[in-house]
Amino acid sequence: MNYSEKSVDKIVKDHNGDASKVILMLQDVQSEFRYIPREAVKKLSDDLDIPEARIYHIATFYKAFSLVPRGEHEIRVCLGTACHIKGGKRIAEGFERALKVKAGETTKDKKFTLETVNCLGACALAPLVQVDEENHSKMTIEKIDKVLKQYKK
Amino acid sequence: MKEVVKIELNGEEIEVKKGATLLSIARERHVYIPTLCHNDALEPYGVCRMCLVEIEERGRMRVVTSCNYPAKEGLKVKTDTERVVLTRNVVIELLLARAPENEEIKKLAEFYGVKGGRLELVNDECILCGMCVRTCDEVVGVKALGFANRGIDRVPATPFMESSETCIGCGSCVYVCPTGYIKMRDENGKRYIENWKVELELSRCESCGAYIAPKRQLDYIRNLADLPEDFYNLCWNCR
Amino acid sequence: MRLETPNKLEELRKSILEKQDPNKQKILVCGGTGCISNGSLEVAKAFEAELKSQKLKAEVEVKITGCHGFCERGPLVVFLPQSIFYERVDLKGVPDILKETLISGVPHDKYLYRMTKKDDPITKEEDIPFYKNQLRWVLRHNGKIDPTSIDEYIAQGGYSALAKALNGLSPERIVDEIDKAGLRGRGGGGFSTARKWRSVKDADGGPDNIRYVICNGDEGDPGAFMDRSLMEGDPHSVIEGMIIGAYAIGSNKGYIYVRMEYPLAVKHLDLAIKSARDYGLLGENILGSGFSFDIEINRGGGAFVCGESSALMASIMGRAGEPRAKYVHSSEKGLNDLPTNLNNVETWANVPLIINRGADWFAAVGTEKSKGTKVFSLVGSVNNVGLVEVPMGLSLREIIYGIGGGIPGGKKFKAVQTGGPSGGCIPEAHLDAPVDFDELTKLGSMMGSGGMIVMDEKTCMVDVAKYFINFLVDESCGKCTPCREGLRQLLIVLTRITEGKGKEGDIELLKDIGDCMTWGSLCALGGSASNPVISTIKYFRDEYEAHIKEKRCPAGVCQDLITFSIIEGDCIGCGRCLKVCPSSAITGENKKPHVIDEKLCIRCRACYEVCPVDAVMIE
Repeated sequence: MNYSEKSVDKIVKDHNGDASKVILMLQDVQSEFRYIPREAVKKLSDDLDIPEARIYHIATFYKAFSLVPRGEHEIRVCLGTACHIKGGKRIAEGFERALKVKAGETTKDKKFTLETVNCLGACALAPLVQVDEENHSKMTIEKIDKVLKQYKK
Repeated sequence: MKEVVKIELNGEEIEVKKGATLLSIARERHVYIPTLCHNDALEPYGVCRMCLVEIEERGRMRVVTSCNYPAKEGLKVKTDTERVVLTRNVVIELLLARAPENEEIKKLAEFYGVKGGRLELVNDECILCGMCVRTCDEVVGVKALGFANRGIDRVPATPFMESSETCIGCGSCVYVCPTGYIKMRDENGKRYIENWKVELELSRCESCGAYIAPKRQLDYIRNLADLPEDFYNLCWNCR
Repeated sequence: MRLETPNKLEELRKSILEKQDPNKQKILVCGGTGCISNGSLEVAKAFEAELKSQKLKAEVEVKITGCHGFCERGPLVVFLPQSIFYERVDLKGVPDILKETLISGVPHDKYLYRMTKKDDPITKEEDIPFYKNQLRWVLRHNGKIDPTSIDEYIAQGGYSALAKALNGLSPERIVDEIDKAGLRGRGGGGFSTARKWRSVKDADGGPDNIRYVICNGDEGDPGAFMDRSLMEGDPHSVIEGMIIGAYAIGSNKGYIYVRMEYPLAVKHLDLAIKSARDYGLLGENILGSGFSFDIEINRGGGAFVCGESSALMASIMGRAGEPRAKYVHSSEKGLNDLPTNLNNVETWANVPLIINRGADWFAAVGTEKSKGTKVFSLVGSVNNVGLVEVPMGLSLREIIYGIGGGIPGGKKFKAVQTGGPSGGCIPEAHLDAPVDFDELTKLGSMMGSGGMIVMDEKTCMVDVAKYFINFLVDESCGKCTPCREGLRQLLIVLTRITEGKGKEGDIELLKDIGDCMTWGSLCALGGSASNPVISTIKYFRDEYEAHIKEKRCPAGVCQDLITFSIIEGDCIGCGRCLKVCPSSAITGENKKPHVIDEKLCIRCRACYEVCPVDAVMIE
């Protein structure tokens, strides 16, 4: 979605303009636009009277935020300990090959963003891959194409 | 109200002001403790970890940073224990790998007999002492600088790594930087701070034509101190 | 409806219980994350639909509960009052399970638990070894009640501890009780909860006498999901604990900090807070006692370091989650520079239990210095993966073999990792060590929040150390030199060792950097970050040396030190490896032995994983 000042206005209002809630506001901005637009940082800085530099720090510090638009679907390959010893890294490499992007990148068609994450807390399902809100448990390299197909439509 | 407490510094019992930092106490007594991120004008930051000392408190030994550890009754402080030496030397070794060409770090390494060579070089002149960011925030009050990213990707930065709209070009960040990482130059009536992509017009003296300071800086001060419009029309010499 | 007095709460409890028929047929479907991923919500819907078509809807209640713990066997379904336990229930099985259990009155054999396929089935949950050897105190409601219903929690005796506390126990008395119980923080360090409470209680709350309580739900340790299951499966027990704690230390404002990866936990907590407010269990003048307290939820932004208390508080205050370098405890100056009490989810959930049952009852279980129970997430190379709660002091062997059912596939046990990235790997020689705070620390690991990752002989310990350091490089805030630069260099050294480029002296170098980080780091993340390296060097030095001196990975994990080949006599020529190979390194005709071209092989292991006859060999 494109940046709109009105949306940010609403987000600020939803949190009563409380400057200490800036992280929660950025989370809402991220889910609204699928990234943190430059304009939103500027606006939050003005509205909340927080230096832009500090908001930029927050936006680059926490993993929830991205300064470039993310893809339509977010693929998170879990690299928690349980997933690691069950081959999570190889699954991540498998997705990198299948999507032709590196972890952290978005495919050219903006369909997928591939991320590796440090434990999703569903360790019994290792190795785990999450696409948007959906979990794909006990992943294998063989299953990668099948999983991707579900979201390609 | 100045409460006095007794502490032990390298075996010697002394009376000091309660709450004074161990670093300031040591310095008053000419006990050398190295620092990289400390400046008396700034709040203690405690991140370079050069100023480590070992303390004994209620029978417990701990390594702490002297720049922000407050003096308390009965505290025993040692500045050169085995743990302090090992930790400090490895910190120097780590910084030497990060900024191998830096004179300040090289001097420290030489002083403490730390040799490089074991670690892979990173070659980043900035040692992330945060002095620039903190000065801009705490002293100048402009808050144009911050940090970006985390972990090994941490860097001091302007928002979006773009030219800062709030930077007044005062150069304070340049003066406090211990490694010379921040580069500033005045050229053809303009001030450039490359690190922040800042290019600011310099104000000229109406009388002699000499450059005074960036226009934005003078405006900032005039506003802050509520000075008259024409206050900075003349340079210091022509006043 | 506001409950104006403790009596009103009791009346409400009675009226809820009266409406409940203990003999009513219930079907409990696990709504934990694991089971949901395996389709439990669809299974629940299928039960509803089937009941409707059988015209049994009025007589049978289908309930979605919190995590049952036995995630390995999900989706899990329990029939009450018969207490019949079904595992791996799928849509296909729903009609038969219903028909046989409810109409014929015999459990449907096919979905009953069997340890292995050859074993006889076990019908009742309480007879299954995984559950039999547990002591479920904190998890007592998990899998039993609907976490979205406050009435169900109240029916189980919920909020009676709060009523008891407000109605006759002085704050001092409550702290004493927690002290006597010997409760220690479940989040990692095992600090005495009562001591923490007391220092916050006694600290100067400023002109407005403000104190805060915080629940740390930023469960970031990889391989751990205890707190998630508690927040999702029994949110009221956490909230009740917080209210009691707040009353004891004199706080009117609380925060629950939940990591963003746990959206269901946020949803359930949010609902629980709202319904507690409706009953007047949160807000002004709770149960007519004059005591007021409310809770706000804070979602994390995705940063492991925010589990560190000062970083967590920075995050709540709307800043980057960086620990601060100050030698003032947050119990004196925490959130907004005011006294702040931070406890972990599981710690809070223990509080109502202690107040209700008494310190003596609680302290009767456990070891000399670690009382009560501990919840662990038992994962990795173990047969019964899931969430287990055991009395403190049970041995690692009893947990891994007795409850976990040992190592799958006949492989050998190698190590168990506890304490997350701050912990260490414990080898077989110490399997009989009793699990408590101090014993694990003695072994060079730590309790941590309770992740327990079992590793078998196919796990490379240098690779495990590298894994944790890589994790921390990603998660360190980068503020102080030892942690930031130390982690960077540790990763460089470990990487070259696993690539067969290790040098003489690398082990000593790892130790030097590790020591510097331990003594010199600003916060606990950096201070404990080298533990995974130091503990693996301590117990598995020979593996490091094999990598460095012989350029060999004994476990067959490190990609640069292994080769893949197909055993000619074993290959059946099914072609699965050929199809899955991403680099076209495998050739072979149908039904004839295949061959791997070593030059093209990228060692991705895909062939090894898919081979149905184990004909792919790693050397």
